[in-house]
Amino acid sequence: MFPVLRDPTRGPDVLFQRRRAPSFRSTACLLAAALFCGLPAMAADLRGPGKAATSDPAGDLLASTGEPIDVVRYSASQLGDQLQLRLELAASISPADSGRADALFGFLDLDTDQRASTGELPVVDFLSDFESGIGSDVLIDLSTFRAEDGRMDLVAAGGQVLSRVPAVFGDRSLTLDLPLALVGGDGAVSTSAAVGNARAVTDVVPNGGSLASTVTGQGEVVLGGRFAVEVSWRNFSGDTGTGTLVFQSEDSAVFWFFQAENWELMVKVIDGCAFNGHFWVFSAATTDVEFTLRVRDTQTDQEKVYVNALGEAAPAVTDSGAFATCEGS
Amino acid sequence: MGVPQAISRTVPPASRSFSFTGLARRRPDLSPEALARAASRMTMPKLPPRLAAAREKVDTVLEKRLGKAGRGGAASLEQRMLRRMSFGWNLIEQEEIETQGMAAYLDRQLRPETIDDLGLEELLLDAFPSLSMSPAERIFTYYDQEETVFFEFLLANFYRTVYSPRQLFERLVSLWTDHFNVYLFSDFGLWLKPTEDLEVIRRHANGSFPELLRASAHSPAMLDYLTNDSNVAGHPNENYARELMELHTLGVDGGYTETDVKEVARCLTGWSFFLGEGLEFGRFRFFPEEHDTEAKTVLGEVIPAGGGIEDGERVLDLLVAHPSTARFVSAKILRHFWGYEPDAATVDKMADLYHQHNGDIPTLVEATLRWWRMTRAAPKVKRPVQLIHSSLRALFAEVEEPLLVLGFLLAAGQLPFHWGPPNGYPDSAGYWSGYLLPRFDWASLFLAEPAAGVRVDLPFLDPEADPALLRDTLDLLLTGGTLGETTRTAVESYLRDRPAGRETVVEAIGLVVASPDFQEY
Repeated sequence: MFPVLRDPTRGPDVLFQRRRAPSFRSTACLLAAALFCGLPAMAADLRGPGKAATSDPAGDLLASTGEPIDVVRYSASQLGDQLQLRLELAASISPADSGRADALFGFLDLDTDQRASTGELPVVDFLSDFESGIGSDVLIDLSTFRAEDGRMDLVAAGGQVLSRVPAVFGDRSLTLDLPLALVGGDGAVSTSAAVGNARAVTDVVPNGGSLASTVTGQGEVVLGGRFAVEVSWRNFSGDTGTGTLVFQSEDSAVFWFFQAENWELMVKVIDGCAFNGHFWVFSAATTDVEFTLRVRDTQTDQEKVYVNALGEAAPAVTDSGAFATCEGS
Repeated sequence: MGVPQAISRTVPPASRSFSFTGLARRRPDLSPEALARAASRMTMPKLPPRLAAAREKVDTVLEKRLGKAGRGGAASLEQRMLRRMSFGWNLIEQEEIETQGMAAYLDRQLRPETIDDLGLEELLLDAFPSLSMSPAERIFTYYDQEETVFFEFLLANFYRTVYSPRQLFERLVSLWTDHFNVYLFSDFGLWLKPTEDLEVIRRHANGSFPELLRASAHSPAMLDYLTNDSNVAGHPNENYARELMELHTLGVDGGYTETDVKEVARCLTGWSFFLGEGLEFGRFRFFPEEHDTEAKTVLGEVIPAGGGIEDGERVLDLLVAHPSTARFVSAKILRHFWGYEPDAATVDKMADLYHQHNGDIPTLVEATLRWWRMTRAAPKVKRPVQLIHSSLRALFAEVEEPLLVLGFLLAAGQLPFHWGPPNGYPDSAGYWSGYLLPRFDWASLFLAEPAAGVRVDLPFLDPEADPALLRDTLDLLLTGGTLGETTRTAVESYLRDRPAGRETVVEAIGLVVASPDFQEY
């Protein structure tokens, strides 16, 4: 890396020493975020353990050179022993090696120990007026994507390439699944991203601060390598909680609500793409308490929600049209 | 062709014994005493007012940025780009790149002809008449003042590299000067090299590599330096042929054999220059009677018998189109602008660009200086020229005695055009990082008037200012606010411990220039 290594003589609070007053540009972008999204851009849209996502205002470009690469959403999710990063963009993108005008370049910085005092200065901080407030322990270099292997470089602080990690390009998205064993840490990360076309950095996300996730709790499991399943409940006394995993297979999971030996719900996600072009969600429960079953396709972020009302004997769910997201899977 | 008036006036009297060869082999004295004597004799040009005016904006920019800069932090991408694209970052350039945007700034630098040079080139050609003379004019005019040719040539290089707004172009000139190194003190180098500098290096530095190579191969300075003038049929001299493949095109691992070297040498027999005493002295000439007309085989291609100069031209065609040349030249550009160890995949991609764009140099440079590539560029150690020039450029220094600065460059091991071997000054951290004393000497002496003849007249360097503010000012002025905490603390302590005054400020500047933070770029 360029001289972004921290001065070892500097204390752990060095980032705060360097902190600048918000610039006009960062202030303007924050205002734009509130205007367009109704959300303060610095606050990550936390959806529960293991996942963090943030919207980014469309059109908040740093430069207008060439084809603008404009992030509209950035998320980080822990999916079992994987960390999934996903960028969604306002317009079509292509991989860096495509040679196209909309080719995506840039860096995703990850603070895997969530300590600003370790790691390097994240790219966002020296490419823009924004400050992430994180210490980058590893980064993903989007420019290193090669169609031959469908991967890009995972780079350690100091510049050493640790591995090449798989990257899946959608029309307007990029999804990366990083093995936690490679990335390090417990799955909770703080992250920021700087992206652009070949000629200029055009967007950063978030517009100030970082996107931070926590470690996956007991409530969420991943089926089929991509479907995050979470169940929450409310009993007749008004108590609430989340379902706890009893066990799971590749496609199925069983949860308990109140006692470990008292199983309440089984759910499975079936790859029905060959039959009807959909992933199917099937579920059966042995309860009449209220529960909400959420199944989210982490590749597309589409979510299906199944609710059982309090006092109703739970019917079976046989949703063979749950996710029409087979393309590219 | 008529004899120009300037020459007719200076032709040596017939009664005087006059030998071009004898003249050519005289060497200027480079001792410090001789440099000081020459400095006292020569009249240095004053910078064009428009160029000097840039300094007047500095205090405004400094005032605007003080208190806002990311002090103690890493360089911004703009700062990194400027350091790599120039002989030294400064605040005014920082303002320009931020105003224009990085891509637009780079586009402009890649089209140097669109950048107003603020009268610099005109000034130099006027002040240093030997620059634009032909070799014959030069030798006729300065046959007994070879040190004038030497100093004018080096001074022009100095002024261009320090003061030209076309900094990326000057970096390219430096790159190709090393790539096609010609030692100024080879046999006729002093008389031939200034012409080569204009007609080969500067003309093609930002053009096409194949054209640059062809121009170099027809350059009397190169043919003299690598002794191709003695490469004749029956007695081939492989010197130039070997370096043509090893250093100029394919690279040492570029897939050629010793036989190829011998065959290329045969193809280039008769490629020389005119050595007679006339206006054509020092011009390229092919001597058919010295050419080996037998068939040759180069890199697997048969060059049939009966050829002439076209044998050599065919060799050049083969070399510029060779995949190894594309990789070798790409790697060279990447090393110069990006970092010492470009990875193979990047070199290959650049080599593809070389082939797609027929070796177009701006295309390769632009691809090298992409933001995402430079973001991960590792630091390079400043070579002495970069170190000295970057300190002068950051301070908007007026150099009143540039010959004395050349003395520092000589001591530090990088006097331009003064590298003997054909591989050019090294571009490696290892070579330069072990030779620190001359760097420290420069840092401690360059503002200690009148040691180096450097004048810095910046009113905002108020010696009576609070040490912390003065430290911030120096940090911002010299590095854009990227000094590490260790250096910042050392500078502030020094300012506090010493009596306030210009001398202390000058010494503090020296501390910054000598610091590890300033040795890399």
